[in-house]
Amino acid sequence: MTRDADPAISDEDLMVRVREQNDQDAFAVLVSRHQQNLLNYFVRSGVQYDGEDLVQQTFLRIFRYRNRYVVSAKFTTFLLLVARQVWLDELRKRKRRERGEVPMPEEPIDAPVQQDVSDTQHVENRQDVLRLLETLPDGLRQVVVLGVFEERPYAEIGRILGIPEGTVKSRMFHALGRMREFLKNDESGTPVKGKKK
Amino acid sequence: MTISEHLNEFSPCDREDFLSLVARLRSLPLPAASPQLTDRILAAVKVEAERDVTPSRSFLPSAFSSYRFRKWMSRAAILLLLLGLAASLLWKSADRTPAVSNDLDWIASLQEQDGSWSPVRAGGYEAYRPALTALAALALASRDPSSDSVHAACRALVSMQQEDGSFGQKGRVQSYNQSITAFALAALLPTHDGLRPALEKAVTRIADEQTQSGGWDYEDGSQGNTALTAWNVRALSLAERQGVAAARLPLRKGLRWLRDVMHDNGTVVYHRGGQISRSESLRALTAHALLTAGASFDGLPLLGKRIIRELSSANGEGKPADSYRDYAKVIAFRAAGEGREADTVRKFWHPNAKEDTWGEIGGRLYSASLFALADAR
Repeated sequence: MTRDADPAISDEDLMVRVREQNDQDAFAVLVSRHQQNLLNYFVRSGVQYDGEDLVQQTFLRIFRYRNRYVVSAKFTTFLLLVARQVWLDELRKRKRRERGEVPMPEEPIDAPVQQDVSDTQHVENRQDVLRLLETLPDGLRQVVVLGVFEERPYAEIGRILGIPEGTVKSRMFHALGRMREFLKNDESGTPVKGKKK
Repeated sequence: MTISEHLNEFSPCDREDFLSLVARLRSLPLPAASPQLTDRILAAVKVEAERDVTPSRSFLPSAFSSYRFRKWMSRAAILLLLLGLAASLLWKSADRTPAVSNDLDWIASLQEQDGSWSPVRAGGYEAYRPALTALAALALASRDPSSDSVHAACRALVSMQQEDGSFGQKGRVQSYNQSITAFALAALLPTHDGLRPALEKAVTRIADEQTQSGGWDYEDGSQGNTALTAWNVRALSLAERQGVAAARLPLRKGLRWLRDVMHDNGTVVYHRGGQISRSESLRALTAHALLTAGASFDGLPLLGKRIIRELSSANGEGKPADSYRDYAKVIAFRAAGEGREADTVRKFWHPNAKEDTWGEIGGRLYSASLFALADAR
């Protein structure tokens, strides 16, 4: 099987092959199909430098825990569940680093974000959106990442984050309202709580 | 429900605001994954598959998984554990252990043709190739400093150095690659004289990166963090002993910075003025730097010993395996002349623990190299 396997073979079928037969070729196809989306997920979640290493960690965990994959579940839901856990672990490590418990920095050398951005407008636009997302605590930000960027149905977001669908809806409302307030105050020059300079 | 359906529920005014907000968010430019990413991931997965850490669901026949059987097995396991503990307490030899020898063979077998080590092949991050090559080279040098493997590793380290003296690509991790590699260059210099130009450039680079107050950090605006400063102080101290004059001044400033992050009661902080750190690795590393690099300065060894007094030789029972912590504690206890404490930490250290705290960053190469280094006298 090549990495550009028949698109008719679903992610779920490939994952079953990985689970039942340790099929690394099938896994290669899954990696090839989803690595970019996963990298986007981490960047939108707030990763600045080490997105690719978190992508690597996520796929490693998927492989490590392949027996836990349930056939009835969508592969992308499983993938995002694991990615979410990797991200939470990363946040915990960052807190430990702040307390001085981490000997090696978590953000390795690859900085593809900076390498790809060339023109000034591009950078400003990027900084603006990231600044906007930074006004949100992680709980609200995850709802925005999965709902606005990934366009996942709220029920699926609820399964990934382990919260009821109604909570997803109210968090989305609060997140949008908070960002709108930030933008209004930003334009009028009023300082806003949580604003990052 | 999706976001589009949700937005339809709002008043026209809100909907318009939120639609424009959503469009703005979606305009976020995103990075493209690097072309090597798939290969890196698959190489790491291959290592994982070879380890085969996935627990099998039907490993035991049902008769063997009964409650009585498991109870019997757990009693037998406790008995074996007690016997093992007794045996290890009786074991007084300080010679290199067969485990270390096996680890060194394993490290040597993993060396690439160009003399470096691929972190990914050992389950770690590619980003740390210079630092992990440096640690692996030091580990092998502890057995035979003039072996072909160590020569090849030295050549690889030199070839990884860039014009400005740095190691690895730009980014925050460069700081650790820099200090660990400079440390290795200085340590290997006596047997590999060709390393001197590389070491001098590395030292100059470290000096350039030092903040005004004498520390080092990878965070913008910070005057230093204790862990990185301790590593750089170790590297500069060794470099100065090898006759690199440029190490002298930054070393003194670094030691002064370390002196100022510790309190009278033997505790240390990560950032100046920050909260007291509970991290044992941080305290041990600081103590070691004060005891060794600060040996010829009045009062510094005393401060190092004060930290050691508060350091426990128990290696975190119930906590995750942590090769970095155990390494720091062993070298710190040894530097303080507390050989028994060092041996206690080393005896209960499991360098190949699958769940080592740094497993995903440095892979087994990191823990095996540190274990061998801690074992070296």
